[in-house]
Amino acid sequence: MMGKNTVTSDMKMAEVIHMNYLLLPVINRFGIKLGFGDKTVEKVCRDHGLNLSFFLDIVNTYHDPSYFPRDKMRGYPATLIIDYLLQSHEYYNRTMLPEAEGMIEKLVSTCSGHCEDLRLIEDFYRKYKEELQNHLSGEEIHFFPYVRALVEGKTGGKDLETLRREYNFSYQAHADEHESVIAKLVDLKNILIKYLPPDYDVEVCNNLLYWLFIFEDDLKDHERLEDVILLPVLENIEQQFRNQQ
Amino acid sequence: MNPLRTVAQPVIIAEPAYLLKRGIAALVSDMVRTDVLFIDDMGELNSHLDKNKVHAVFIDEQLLTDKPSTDLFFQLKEQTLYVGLSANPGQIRHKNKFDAVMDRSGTKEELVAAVESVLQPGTGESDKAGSLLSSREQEVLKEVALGYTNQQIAAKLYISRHTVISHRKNITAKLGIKTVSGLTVYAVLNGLIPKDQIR
Ligand SMILES: [Fe+2]
Ligand SMILES: [Fe+2]
Repeated sequence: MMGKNTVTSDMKMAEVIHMNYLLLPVINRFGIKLGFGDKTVEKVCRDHGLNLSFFLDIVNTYHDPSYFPRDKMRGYPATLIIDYLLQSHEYYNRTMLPEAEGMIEKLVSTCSGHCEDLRLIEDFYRKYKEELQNHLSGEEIHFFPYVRALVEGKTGGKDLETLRREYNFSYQAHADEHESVIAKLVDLKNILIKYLPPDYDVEVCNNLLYWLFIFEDDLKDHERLEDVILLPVLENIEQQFRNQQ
Repeated sequence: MNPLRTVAQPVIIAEPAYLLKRGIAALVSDMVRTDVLFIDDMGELNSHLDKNKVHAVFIDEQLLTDKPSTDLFFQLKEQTLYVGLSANPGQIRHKNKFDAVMDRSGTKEELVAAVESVLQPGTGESDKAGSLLSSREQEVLKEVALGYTNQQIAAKLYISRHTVISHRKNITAKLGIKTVSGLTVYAVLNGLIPKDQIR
């Protein structure tokens, strides 16, 4: 379903950004920076040696919640998907999390009056940040290498159970982590929106909230890619592996 | 239009009647961004629920005739919302096990309202009723914030674990806060527990 607002290969890359500036960090993850002149999406992708169809699907799923060509996306190589996911991880670690932390620190430091409550929120955020960082690095150390080992056939004659154990990968644990990192972010937003104590700086807090909204959308899109695309791809790979054994 | 809320876990529709199941799926995807699965075999449904996290199950009561599979189906899964579909919602079997019940022959508005109350906590009934917690809910929230498990809370307050879970669902729907650490912040901010009692 290509709606009027879908990003297409013949659009100019500059138009894409005018249409939705929130796509900028997504495009950056493909190694693309500003200054595209009048180049089309197709040309920019070719210049960067990118898979055009994958680029379009990623950008469009991010841009339009109803666009999600599940079956088609499950056809992309697992390693291509993982490379993109890793770039998102880097963005969360390098930009999303520290920026939000800076804003929360500012919220506390500009507080006038009873600041205990804001410190409580800061504590909540610090723990959240640690949890998300652990989730991301866990995927980088266990989940992604497990998928790669299967794809590249570097399994050393072991069976799936052994491999899963060695890579410390479990579907259930992964699902639990996803649920928790999303739920806590949503909770943080609601605590700020509904229950923030009054002694705070309006500008600082508004900026923080804008940022958290963007963060949430980005992270949800990311986890959806893992849950709904990468995990079924992995299940397929595991099935093939079992059949070969 | 508001952007759709994303629900990471899928919604399952267990309804043999083709048009009805398509209709519910359409209502669901109007409301949240999620995967919808159709399963109308109880064996398959139970094994799916056993292995996967599911946000909500819409199930036709006609599927709940066999006792063992029905018991298995209702084995408490805290995160899953149960919605019953019945031609006679007032008389639906296992009424107290459902989070919501839908009338199979309801008008569009009735069905939309029912799906909404389940999938969009905070915008439905409970918000209209005011977001104040009942005193029982406050007690449960306090215990949650102090770090007790559902089992422990049930024992402390002399209620069943099922009741604790049902209070927790209501608390989350009213406050818009789901996680234990989020609820703890709320409890301290609102003076339900002192800060130094957080574990
Ligand atoms: Fe990830
Ligand atoms: Fe993840």
